[in-house]
This record gives sequence, C-alpha cells and structure tokens, in this order.
Amino acid sequence: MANLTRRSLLSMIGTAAGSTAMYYAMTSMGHAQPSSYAGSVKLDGDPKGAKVLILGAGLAGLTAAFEMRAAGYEVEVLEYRERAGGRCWTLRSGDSYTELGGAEQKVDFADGNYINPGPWRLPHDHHAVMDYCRRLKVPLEPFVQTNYNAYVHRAEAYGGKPMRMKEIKTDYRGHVSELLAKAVDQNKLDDMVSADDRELLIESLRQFGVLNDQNEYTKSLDTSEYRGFAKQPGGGVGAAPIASDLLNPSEVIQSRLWQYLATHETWEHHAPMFQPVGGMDAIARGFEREVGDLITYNAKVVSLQQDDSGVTVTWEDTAGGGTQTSTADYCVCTIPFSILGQIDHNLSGGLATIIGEMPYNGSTKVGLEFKRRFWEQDEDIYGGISYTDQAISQISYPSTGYLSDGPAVLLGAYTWRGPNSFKFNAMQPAERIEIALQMGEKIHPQYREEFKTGVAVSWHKVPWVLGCSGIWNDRERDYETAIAIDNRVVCAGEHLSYLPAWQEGAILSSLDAISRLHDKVING
Amino acid sequence: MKTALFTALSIGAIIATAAGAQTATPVTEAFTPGAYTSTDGEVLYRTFCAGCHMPDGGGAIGAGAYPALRENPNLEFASYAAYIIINGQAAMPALGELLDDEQIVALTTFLQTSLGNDYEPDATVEMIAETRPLSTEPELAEHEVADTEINANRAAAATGEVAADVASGADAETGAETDAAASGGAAGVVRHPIPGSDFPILQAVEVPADATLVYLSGTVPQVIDETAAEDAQARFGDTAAQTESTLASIEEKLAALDLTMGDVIKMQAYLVAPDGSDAMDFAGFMEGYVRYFGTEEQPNLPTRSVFAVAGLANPLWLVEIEVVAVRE
Repeated sequence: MANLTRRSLLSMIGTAAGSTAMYYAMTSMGHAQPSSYAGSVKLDGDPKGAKVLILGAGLAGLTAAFEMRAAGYEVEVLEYRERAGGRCWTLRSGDSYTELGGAEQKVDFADGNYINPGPWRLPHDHHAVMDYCRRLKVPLEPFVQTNYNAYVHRAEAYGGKPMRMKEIKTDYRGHVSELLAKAVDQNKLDDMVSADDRELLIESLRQFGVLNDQNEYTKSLDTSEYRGFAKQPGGGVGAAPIASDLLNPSEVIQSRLWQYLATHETWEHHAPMFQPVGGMDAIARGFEREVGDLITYNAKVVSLQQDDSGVTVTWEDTAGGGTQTSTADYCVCTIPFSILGQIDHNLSGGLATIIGEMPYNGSTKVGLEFKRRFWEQDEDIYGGISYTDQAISQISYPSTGYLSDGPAVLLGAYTWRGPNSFKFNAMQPAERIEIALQMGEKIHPQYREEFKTGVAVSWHKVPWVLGCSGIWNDRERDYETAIAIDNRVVCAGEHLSYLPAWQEGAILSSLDAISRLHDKVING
Repeated sequence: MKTALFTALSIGAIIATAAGAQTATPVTEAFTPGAYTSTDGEVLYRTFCAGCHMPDGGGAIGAGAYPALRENPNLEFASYAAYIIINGQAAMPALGELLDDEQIVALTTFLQTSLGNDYEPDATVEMIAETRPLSTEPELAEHEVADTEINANRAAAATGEVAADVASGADAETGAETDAAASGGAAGVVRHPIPGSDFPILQAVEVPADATLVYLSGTVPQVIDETAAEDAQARFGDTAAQTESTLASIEEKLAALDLTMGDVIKMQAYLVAPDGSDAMDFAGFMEGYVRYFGTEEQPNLPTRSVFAVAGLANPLWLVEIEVVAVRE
C-alpha cells in the first residue's frame, strides 16, 4: 500500500463499492462538486429481458430509455407529441405551433434563428445535463447571462430612462462602500468590528468600492475604470480619457435598480452558462439519435393500470386513429402530474392524491425577430439580459451570431408565475407580441422600426403539459411518497426534484427512479 | 407603493392569427406588479380565467383538459367556484392571493350569470372571506426569473409592502408610505397615521402574527407631593400632572419588561372630571400625553381611546391608563 496513488485508491473504491461510493470519496478528497449526479449511472446485473414501458419522451423519459436499454431491458416509449424532448423544445423557421384555444403560430424567423420556449440555458453546476451533452455529443456555446453594458430599467427610476448596469452596479457599490468605510473610520462600528479588523476592512472597501484615500467615492479616472468613461482612453491625438459623472447616491438607492444586480450571482446563474448550438432541442435530438427507435409518437395515454403480473397502458393513436394497448413488467411514468391526474390510473392512494393535487405554474416567453441587431450595432450590447419592472421582466439578447447582418431573435418577454403570467396567458399570441413590443420599446426605441415577426408561448396553453412546471403544496410532507416506487410504477420528472423546471431536475429524478427500480428488479 | 401603471391595453384591433382560434376580447386589465386591479367580473374572467377555460367558457382539450365553465351546473352555488378560485384544484394553482374578496364576488357573479349559466348570484364578501384559508404561506417563485421577483418581494417586504407576488392589490397599496414615514420600534409592525392629520395618535396599527403582545394592567397616578394632606388633590396633582406621573410609571413597568414607550401600540385612558367640572380635562391629559408620544426622542404613536368615567378606586385619582405593547 505504500505506493498507492490517489488515483489508484479511487479506482479501487470505485471497483469495490460502485460509483456512488467513489463519488463520495472524490468529494471528500476535494475532487468533485457536491451534486447528486454521480457520473454515468451503473445499472449492474441482468434484468433478464424484463420489459419497461416509459411514458413521456421528455428528458426524464429519454434518460430512462437510454440507460435502461443499455442495462438490458426491453424498452418501449410512448409520447403524446410527434417529436421527442417535451419542454426541451425549440421553435424555428418553418415550425408551426397550435396552442389550446386553437391559435396557430407559423414561425417566420429567418433560417437559423430560433427561440427556446422552455429551458434556454445550462448552468455549469448542473453536472448531469452537462454530462449528457458530452456523451450525446451536443455542441455547447457560452450563454451570456451577465452583460454589464445591458440595461436595468424601472418606469419610475431616472424618468424611465434605461440605465447601464455597469453604472448602477459600480455606483451602488461605491456609495455603500464609502458609507461603511467612513462609519468604521469614525469608530461607529467599534462594537461590531474588532480593532484588528478595522484597518483591513477599510482597505478592502477602498479596493472593492474604488474609494480614494479619504474613503470617498468620487468622480475620477479610477472610478471610470469600473463604471465606464465619459470618453474612453484612445490612441493618437486627443486620446486622453475623460472621467464620467457619478450618479447621486440617494438616487441610486431610491431607484431600486439595485434589485437587478444580483440575479446572476445565484449559483444556477454563475458564469459561464451554456446553451446548445442551434437551440435547446439539440439535447432532445441527441437522445433521439440513441433511442428514437424505441419511441411511439402521437400516443395519447388514456389509462395506466397495474397488478401483480404487470402494467397495462391504453393509448390512443392520434395520428393513425384507434386505441391500442401496451403491456410491460414495469413502468417509468414521466407524464406531468397536470396530465397524469386526468388519466385513468390505479396508482396507490397517497401517490394518487399528490398527483391529483399538484398545481402547475404559468410562464410566458415571447421571441421577437428584428431586421437587424440594433442592440449590438447601436448600443454595444452583445448577449446578456436587460431587466425591467414591466411585465415582460427582461429582454435577453442572442448569445450567438454576433456582428452578423440580417435578422436576429431576442427574448422579448419572460414572465414567471404571478399575475402577469395569467394576463399574458389570457391573450392571443398576437396580443402578447404587441405587449412585448409596447414594453420593449421603452427600452429600445428602435423596436417598431425594426420589428419583423414574433412567437409567443404561454405555458398554461401548451396542450401537452398545461403549465410550465409542478408546484409542491407541501414538498417536505409529500416528496418521499411521490418518488417512491408504487408496486411496478415509478414516477419521474422535474416535478419530482428539488430543481423544478430545470432539465437537471428531470434527469436527476429519472436516474434516481430507474436506479431504485433496477435494484428492485434485480434484488426483489 | 406607486405602481407603474401601463396604459390599459386597448388592442381589440389585433385579430387572432388563425381561423378557428377563439377571438380576443379587448383587455382592460392593466399590467401591475402586484395583482389584478379590475373589479369588473367580466374583465377579470377575460384577463384571467379565459386563458385556460377559454373566452367562451368552453374549456380545452389537449393531452389533458381544462374543464368547461359554460353551462356548468356546479356554478349554481358560488361557494363551489369561490373555493376553487381561492384554493386551486388539481393542476390549477390557488389564486386567492391575486384577488380580493370583492373581486371574487364579481367573478363568481359573472360565472353564475354568463357563459350560458343562468343562476341567482349568491356570493357575498363575507362568504368569500370565510372561504379563505386561515393562513396562507406565500408562494415563492422557485426558478430563474423568480430571482427578480423574489428580489422585488424582498425589497417590498423590507419596506413593509406586502410581497408583490402574493398581495391583493388593495393590500399592496397600504404599507409603503405609512411604514416609511412612521415605523419604528418592533420591526414588522405597520403604523398607519391618520391621513391628513397631525393629531398624535394612529388610525390603525398592524401587528405581525409572530409578535408578542404585552398587556399592562391599568396604571394609576403616583403621589407627587408627599407633604400634601392625604385627601388633598395636590397629593396627586391635576389631570396633566396625573397623566404625566401615570405615564412615567408605565415607562418604568415597560422598561422592567425590556420594552419602551415606542413599543406601545394601543392605549385606553380613563379620565374623571376634576372637582367643580362636569367634563374630563382632555387638554390636561393631552399635555401629559405629548411628553411621551410623538416627541423627537420617541416619535412612535399608539392607537388610543379616551373615556370619561364616573370615578376610580381612589377619589383623588383623575387618570388611569392601560397600554398594550408589542415585542417581536
């Protein structure tokens, strides 16, 4: 053992105890992030030809299909739609989408342009979805979450004028640092800051807030290095920089624009974030390449019954007509509870109650295509997000195709729960687009002149999910019951995770569900 | 809270994009941060319910279905619809936090009398209030855009505004200005001054459920002149002097409980008319009162009632005061 390297130790642990043990060992040795993704799932043992029926070909169902076939199961997948992916979905030129109520939208974007109505960005900390992109060879590119040159905007701040985030951010930080440094310097915080710390704290605030020797945040070339110059440093004649004016401290506080400064600082929005090249559904296409042959499309499940001998699912063929029946030994059900609650099933009481009572969240996204990239050409905004207190909540600029001529698509509205989602939902698509234009033009006056076409998806009107994501009435109380294997059926999806509405939640839920199901198949 | 009120949407001219699509009705509900503002049942239906139940109430069918409200016998009694609106049902989220009682009455009345339904509207504000759950946990958004919303709500909460995502419109309007102007003492207590008046009492005070209320027994005046005869009025002084010594006692009692006059939220004062007068000496009482409340050092005000009583336990007492204080 004397010559044992850390790598060979890990390899031994992995061999002896499985990947989960190795993962924990890696974590304790500082080599892995504390995610519940333990690397490629290991479904060891021969299922002896057992058949599993997977309901739903979203990311949870696709993951289950991919891994269970690899483990030796006979796999059949039923999918309501005509394609795989579920909410991992991209609308691009030539697509058409009909929402509940009958409004059909024909996407008229230029070739290559698209909008992701569902998930649209991948945190680097979402280890499972990142690993599947690696394994499925889905090319990723950076998704620009944070752009300090984008705007923050409130109707009542600065007369409704959009402000550059870098100015608000730097001035807010500077003014607050000045206050704190002075309070410490004037011994006003002596009961909270030890004598040893005071000097260092002030020094750190001078650096953090860009304060001068008197602990003041003032107009200077130094502060302009952070907030931007009135005139940038250049070359040749007249190249000297000119410092920019600072915003008044009270106005910065009163503006409330600081509320948008930390949105990119939550762990799921830390840079770098990623997006699949060409649209989020590249992940679905990647899975489809592997397991597309297992999927029956246009299959509307109407009944799910299980007994001691197996599982029987009745489904309508919405393309070819007629009703059919599929049977299997086991079932992984990834149908959203908003739908499953309306399907005739004989799942157990506790689980059935949770299925029948899980509300689904509303959300609206509006994609707007403009004739040119005026945000880049006129305003030097390359990707990233502007925030506003208007109902559209944000404008996200494309993180791809920079500097190109021709039309480009931005995300012109993204509501999440709350009354605005309901109000958008009650509108027709053209009305949602009109509202997105009305609100967006307060930030970008070029909107009307440059607008070409748009697409608006409101998730409560999406026929195959009736909402954006599941909401727990009481997750602490219900979670274990909801994820437990019910005889021969186990449910999975984003709704059965602590990462609701994220693809990572769907995949992790699925991997956990099939691991437990597999253990039951092998070990009884 | 000054809400950013965007022009009411008048976009009836926009036609739905596809033949067969349910046509749009002009929307007159503005986008406001907090909730719905209209009190018109039809407008609320068109801008809220119709999204899923459809403009004609016919519902919709996809992989699952939205039930039809059109010609729906369950609407005979408003209590059924009211319960579902407030608490949600199946995949439908609870919507009670987005509508106040009057709005729900207007909405159920519309449902009972329109969309092919012809029932006698039977909802009342009292019935809606009783249908609401005793306590509702705020629904915090859990996802990405939520971070903006959560931040907005946190910001709102910090200034006493009710969280935008969960407030009814009317509630959201009340907190901010009064709180910013007159709050103090225990955090979370919202003090509402009398609008347009500088009379030094509150019109109302809101106390959060997790605060502790401290009730003091009636406090009576102290002897201020030991040398005065046992039965001389001077022993306790006039109404002004008695008010001041009584409040001084209250301040001491509060201090012993680790509270201050700034924590007082409610006062009841019992005054006896001085000898030779048939009315209480209200001016004298106020003279003592304003030394303790609404001063520069102690700006907080309580709600207050003042009563004239025939007599107190000691015939020389002209003043007895009860207070309720709040501790977080």
